[in-house]
Amino acid sequence: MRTTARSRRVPATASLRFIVVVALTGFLWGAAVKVALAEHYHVACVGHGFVHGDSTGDGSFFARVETGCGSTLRQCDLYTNGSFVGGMSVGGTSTTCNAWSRSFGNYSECASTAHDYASGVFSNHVHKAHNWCG
Amino acid sequence: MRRAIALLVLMIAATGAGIAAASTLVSGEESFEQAPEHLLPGPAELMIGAHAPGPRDAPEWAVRTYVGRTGLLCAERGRLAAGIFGDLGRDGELEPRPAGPTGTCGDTGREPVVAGVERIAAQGDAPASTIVFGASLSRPTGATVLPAGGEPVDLPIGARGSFIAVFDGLREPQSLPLEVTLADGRTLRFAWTAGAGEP
Repeated sequence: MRTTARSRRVPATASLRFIVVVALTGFLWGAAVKVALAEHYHVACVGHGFVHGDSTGDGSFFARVETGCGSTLRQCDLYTNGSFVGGMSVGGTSTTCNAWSRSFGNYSECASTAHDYASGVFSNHVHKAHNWCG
Repeated sequence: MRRAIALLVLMIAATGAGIAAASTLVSGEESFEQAPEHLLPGPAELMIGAHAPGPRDAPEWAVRTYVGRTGLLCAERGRLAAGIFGDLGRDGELEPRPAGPTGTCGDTGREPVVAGVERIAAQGDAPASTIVFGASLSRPTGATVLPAGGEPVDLPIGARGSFIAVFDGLREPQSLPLEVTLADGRTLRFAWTAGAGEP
């Protein structure tokens, strides 16, 4: 009888542990995917990065730096295949830096990067397109 | 057999729950796919304002302004031909620019002038340019760019207090400081440097 009771408990414990492991794995996987998807745009005190807009393949995209956190100068530049195509600098504390690709010409969205800077908040750094192909 | 199926269902449910929890914690929404309200035009009219000659026979440069859905004043630089504001397509023809989150927008309740410097790389036959532009609802009476080592350039004021100046080549914004004088006598200076001289 004891043997039978033990044999019923062991699989139940194993299943519970297995489910916990699977749930944890799912959690980490979901987190990793989300972080990867968010890489082209994120919030580091102020939102900034590469903004695709409606589609990742329509050639309409932005380099953008929002206001806040005491920044008095923001820069948002676009590069395609490693070459500068256009960008913007804005002063003051309340104006969003918003450089739109189509106002500079016609460029490959997936081969483009946004180079963003906000004074006193973060230094100039690169955000690649979500569907990076460069 | 039934136990194995139940375990499989539990595994799938647990995985889904884990992914959902992680998705919620890591990112509330995929904001990058949605146009932010403060950059989208509100119900007020989009107005074509100040303009400047384009290179050779190309369309003029121009500023269009709009008031965003949250009340910000927005200015955007584009091209202008036959009263149509837009951008040059692959064939060099002007394509009308639809209303969208394409302007640079500022809170005129905090700072009365929205202004920026755009640098545009050469493309095909089009030369590189650096453009100073902006707008203000505080009835600016004058806007002047003070190029380093050059003569001051006075800019005409257009609709919604808009202004624009175009300079050849890619220039550092710091070499093109801007002064805007408002109807109340204040003069705001944009030095395009961090911390100093900004409005």
